Amino acid sequence: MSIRSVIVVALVVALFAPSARAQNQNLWRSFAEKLPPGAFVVVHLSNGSSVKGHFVQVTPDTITVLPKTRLPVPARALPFTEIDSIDLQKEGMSPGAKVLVGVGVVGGVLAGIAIAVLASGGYD
Amino acid sequence: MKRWMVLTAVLALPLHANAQELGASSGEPFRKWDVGGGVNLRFGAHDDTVVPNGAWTADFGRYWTPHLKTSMAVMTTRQDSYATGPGVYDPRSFTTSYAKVTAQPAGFGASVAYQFFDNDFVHPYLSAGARFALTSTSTDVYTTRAPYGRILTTTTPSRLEARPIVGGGFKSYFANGRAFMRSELALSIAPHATSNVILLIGAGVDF
Repeated sequence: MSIRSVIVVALVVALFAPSARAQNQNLWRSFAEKLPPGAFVVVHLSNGSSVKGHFVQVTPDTITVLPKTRLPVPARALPFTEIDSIDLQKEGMSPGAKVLVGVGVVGGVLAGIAIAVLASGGYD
Repeated sequence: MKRWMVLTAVLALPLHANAQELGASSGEPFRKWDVGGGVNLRFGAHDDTVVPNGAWTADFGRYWTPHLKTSMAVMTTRQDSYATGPGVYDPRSFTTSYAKVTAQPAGFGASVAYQFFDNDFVHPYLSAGARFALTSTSTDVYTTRAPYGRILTTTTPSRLEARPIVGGGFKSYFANGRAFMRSELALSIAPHATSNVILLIGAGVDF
């Protein structure tokens, strides 16, 4: 590739990148406008981090998300200029509930085995 | 309705945040106390009166920072542990003896833990501490000649025994952010460098 081609490609990218970014912003803004309040979303930011939480509101420039944390923290207004993507997700069981279910299942299986052993007349 | 709930929650946040006790070191909100209880199951070939096969435990902890916690615990320790068979068997002797180590019904523990992550629903942690129990040894002496039977029992005064414990686990919170389940695997070091693995399953609440 000649230097001339490189320059042409760089110019094309420089010319269309802002418009692509603007298109991206419009896309996520229109997506956010259709979200129901309280929807559980994961917002991926252009700096590589992400914010997981409940959708609160959308303005022409920002989407406001209430981060899902153990202790409440203030809602965050995230500018569309910093947003890479927004995922609408289903909120699952809490980790505590998962552990409790796991303990219940293991305990139930062990109790079942113990009952089966006792019913069969012990160890003999 | 849901919209109003979310709006109310958002408006109430500053009040709620102000009402919370904030960690001085990092600014991350954290609750300073927790209380919990659970069951300990010991896996290991070595009998240990201080760390019995199964035990109930209750603990009370204080967070000094969002990550550092100290705890005190009480646990059941009542268990008899027999010494390795007849103490000395001598066919020329008229007696044989059995030693039994007995722990008092309750022991206690102290530990320090480091918790990872901030304000999350799952916090892995590492802990180190010790468990203590009062134990005494009673020795029964039996005659090996007719009439057979116990002829003497001697009991030593109670002594405090300690077992260093290191471990790690997870504190997994329920949706309310206060109640939690705790699952922990620990290693207790008994005398003569023998060790036992302890599984702790418990539940508790932060406040």
